[in-house]
Amino acid sequence: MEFSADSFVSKYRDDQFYSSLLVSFNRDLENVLTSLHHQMEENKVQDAIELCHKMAGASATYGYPVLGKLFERLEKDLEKSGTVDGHISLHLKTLDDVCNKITEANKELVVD
Amino acid sequence: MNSYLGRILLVDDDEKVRNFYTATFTRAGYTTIAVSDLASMREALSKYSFDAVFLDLKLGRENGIDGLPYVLKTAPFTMVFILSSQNSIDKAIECIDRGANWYFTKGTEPDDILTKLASYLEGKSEVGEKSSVEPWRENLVGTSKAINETAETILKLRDVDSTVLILGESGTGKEVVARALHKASTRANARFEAINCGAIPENLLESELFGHKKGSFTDAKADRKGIFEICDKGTLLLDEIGDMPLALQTKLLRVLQEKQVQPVGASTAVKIETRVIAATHRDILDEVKSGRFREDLYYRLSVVMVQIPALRHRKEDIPLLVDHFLSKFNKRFKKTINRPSQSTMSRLMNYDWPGNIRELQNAIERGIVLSGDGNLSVDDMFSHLKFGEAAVPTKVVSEEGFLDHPFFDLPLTDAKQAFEKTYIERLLKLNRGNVAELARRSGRYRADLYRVIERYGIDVDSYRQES
Repeated sequence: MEFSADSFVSKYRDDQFYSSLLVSFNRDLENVLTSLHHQMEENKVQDAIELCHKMAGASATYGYPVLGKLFERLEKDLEKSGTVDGHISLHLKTLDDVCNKITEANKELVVD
Repeated sequence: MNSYLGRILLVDDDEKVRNFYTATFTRAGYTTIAVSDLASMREALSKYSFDAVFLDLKLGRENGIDGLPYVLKTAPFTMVFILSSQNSIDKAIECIDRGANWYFTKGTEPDDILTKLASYLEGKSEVGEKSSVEPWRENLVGTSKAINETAETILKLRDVDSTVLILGESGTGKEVVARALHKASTRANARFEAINCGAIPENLLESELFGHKKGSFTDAKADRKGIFEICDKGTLLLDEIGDMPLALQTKLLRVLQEKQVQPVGASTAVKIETRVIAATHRDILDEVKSGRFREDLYYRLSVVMVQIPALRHRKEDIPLLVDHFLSKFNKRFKKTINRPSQSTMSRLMNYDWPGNIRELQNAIERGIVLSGDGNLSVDDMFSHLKFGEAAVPTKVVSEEGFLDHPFFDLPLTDAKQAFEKTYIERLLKLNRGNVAELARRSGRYRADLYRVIERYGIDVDSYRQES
């Protein structure tokens, strides 16, 4: 799946007011994905659905609509399938890629 | 930061989202309290009045919309905005149908949210039906002598800054009168704030009222204005003043005398022009007599006293109140339930409404929600009494037997206290020492009950052990 470069940069990136919140959000992405992977491995579908739901809202709030949509789609698919199948794993892989690109694109973002 | 614009309650289970919107609202000039679940939301609503609540729909495994009726009932002057990640027209329509003012999806531009919020708060009094009565009188429903006298008193007080003490049983509408006093006054364009002195822990109340300086206590991470300062030039309702701890009563007296507050940890005082309205359901003179309320503060607060009559003493207002609530809830629930028949109205008129207007309002709401044939049914409206009978088995006592009770041989003050103690002990026994359940059944705040329990030396643990 292809995403434009804008997808990896928050719309609040240039707003100093939100910079410390944004740094903290970006920093936390890795932990979120680690948790999500664990939940998938242990087939804790309900926990994964809740985490995806939270992240869908949080990502949209922090100015990452594409990331928000990816989490939302994973949430919906998990609700539908009720288990972790190949299709879900593929979604998760896409999420990993997008999150890595977000981390990469925001490397130089620091709090003043 | 802009000047103070209002108080917001944000309910969202995600810390990241709470942090983002707390920052956004605070920068715009709103005091923001953020909580993560419905229980904390209810607790916050019992302590403060909020201008707006932002409610997430999915709070972990709780459904946020389940909290909507509670907000609408307990905070009728508060705007409710849904803030959800679900981008669904059907969901938005459902929420607005159920009484929310607006539906935002997460990701909406903060400026758009702030613009909508400001326009709702500015037009707050215009939301709803246009009324022929003056705006300040809109919620003072009735034509009885008692309510007209209350309205006349409000008008007499519109241009003066005298402190007002509002007395009345629970559910009589003390906050409605306080808001009417504010709206009718020359301060109408400034802030109105209400704080429940009985619901906030004693160690936090001083800071809530007067503010604090950074570092003055462990959690004081920044300077913070107290509610007196926040509504400078406006009106402050100190609700349940009878429950204010004695030590704080002394400080409040000084504030009222000197018209300045000293934030906790500050070396200088801040001048304020806040009009104070106090309210209590307690027999305040009784509290003075027993030493629980300072006499000098009582005189300072009671420059003007407004006694709101119990609904059983103004029964002629019941038909108008029924119409008022019928119209309000028909609109909220998109229903067209008819006015009650004459026989139903007679039943409503013959009941004494110990829970006053709040009980009547709940009965009408229940009647509308449960109505299946377009009419209000007496059974539906009074179902809470049946529930009470089932939930608390009571002995049938004849009137003679009841009047033989030793309470009747005591002076009134002692009899009331003896009854209060017995009442609490009985409910604790029934609920196996569960104070939350005691609070629910008695219709009192937990903080309030803990003080009463302490006052009577009741050992709650012994009821827990009994079970």
